[in-house]
Amino acid sequence: MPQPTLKAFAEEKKLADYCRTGTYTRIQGIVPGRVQYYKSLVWNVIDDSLATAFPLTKQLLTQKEWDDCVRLFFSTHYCNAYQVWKMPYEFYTFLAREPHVLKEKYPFLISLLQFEWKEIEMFMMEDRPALEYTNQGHLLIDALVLNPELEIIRLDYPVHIKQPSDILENDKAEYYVLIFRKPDTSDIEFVELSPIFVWLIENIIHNQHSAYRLAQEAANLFGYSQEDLIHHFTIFLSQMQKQKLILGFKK
Amino acid sequence: MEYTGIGFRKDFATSFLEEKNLQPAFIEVAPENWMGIGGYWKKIFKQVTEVLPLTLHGLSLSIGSDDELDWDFLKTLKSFIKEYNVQVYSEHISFSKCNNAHLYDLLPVPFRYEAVKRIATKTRQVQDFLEMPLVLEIVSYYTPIAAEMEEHEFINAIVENSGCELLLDVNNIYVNSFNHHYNPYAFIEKLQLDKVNYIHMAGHEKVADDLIIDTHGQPIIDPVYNLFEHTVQKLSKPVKVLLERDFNIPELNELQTELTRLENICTKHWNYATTHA
Ligand SMILES: [Fe+2]
Repeated sequence: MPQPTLKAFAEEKKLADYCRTGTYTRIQGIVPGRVQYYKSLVWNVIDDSLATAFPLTKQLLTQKEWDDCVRLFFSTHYCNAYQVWKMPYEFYTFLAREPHVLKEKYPFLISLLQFEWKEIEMFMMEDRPALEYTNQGHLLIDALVLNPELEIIRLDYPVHIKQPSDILENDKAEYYVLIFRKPDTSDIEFVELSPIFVWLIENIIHNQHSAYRLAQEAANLFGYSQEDLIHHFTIFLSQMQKQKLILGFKK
Repeated sequence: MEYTGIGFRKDFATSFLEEKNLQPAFIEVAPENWMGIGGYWKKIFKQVTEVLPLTLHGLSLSIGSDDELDWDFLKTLKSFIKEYNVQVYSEHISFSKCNNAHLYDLLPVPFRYEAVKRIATKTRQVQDFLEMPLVLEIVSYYTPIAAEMEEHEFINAIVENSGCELLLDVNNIYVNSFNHHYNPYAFIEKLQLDKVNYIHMAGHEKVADDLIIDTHGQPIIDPVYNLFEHTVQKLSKPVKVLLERDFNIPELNELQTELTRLENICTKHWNYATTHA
């Protein structure tokens, strides 16, 4: 970064750099001992926001690991979000991008951050309008209208079902988790999905085919018996309907 | 309540809606915390803003740094202002961003002419774009940096050059006068009081013999009430008054007691003045 040419902004930059990195370069005309308050005020905001966003990660790491990690992030990354609640996303993607010893010690760290962030993002995100629907219909035959406030994420480790301290290296696999915001309470809930149900939901959303037709397609694609699929789809879809993941039937 | 509002916070949102014992004239929020969200908090926000007028007190504009304005932010802000029929948008004479890195806190701007010029330019850009005045707050600060003029000269130069209005945070003036050893009454006398459009009141915390930190975590103290009453008498017109309480939130009826005390001071001077004008 080039140094600002005007005195005012050169001195501002020194204060900002000191708050971000902790490295002090002499700032003109300050009252001795006072700039450190700014550093700790700034630090507290960053530390509090990240600790609130990632309680499981904070609990997993030692205090020193946490502090070092937060310091590395804040001193080297230029925070782009003007909304402080979005800043933790930058922490998660920063660690996902950068090589870091903690990722070797805790191979599931990025999955854990991803999972914790996703819950915040789903809780805070803007409302998504639902398609028009009716309550009259048949789960297998009619086109279904899903709660639009859902997402499916892929995790490399089972951070959604296991305590971080219990996760082992050989837990590594592909896990699919459906995250959704409940229409009535706005609470966030998670459901683990097997790949066939990921396929089913994605096809319901994107192609709006009936579950019956999708069972036929799946039978050809994956080589299961169509009867079995219809049976499993029926159970799964009724469960989804109970959880308000299926709002109703297309008008 | 006619004049006095409260800084609305998530920490007390539920009890605010349930208990109904805190009855402000309006609420103020940081737009950054409530823009572009949905779900639970949006529902709460809608409920509150359906019955109370809304003012905005921003955090991320960073009018005092050399960075360009964030036009994406301003666009979102402008539609938020329209959607909620916002009356006042205020910000701080400070910087919260440097080299486009957000710091999420308010840092002191050097009292220098080049800063005045930059602030004036950016303020006019904001006002033109939002089509409303920008109300700028005199912030509390713990050290000056690289000052080449007095604080009041700096503030007055900004007002003259930018066409902004002023947010007078009476507690900030008190805190600054203590931390930097000046007379808060004399300081207020030196400001262009006809430009004051909004007042903040808050509590603070003394952390050392020679230092007060502006925490917004305590009740307002009597000397700040006195300075407030003095200010109210000096203003040429009634303005909105806001109580800020960001931490250490008490029972809401305690906040209501503070609001009532502020409101009584306002009505004592302003209502008398208008009926006898
Ligand atoms: Fe204030």
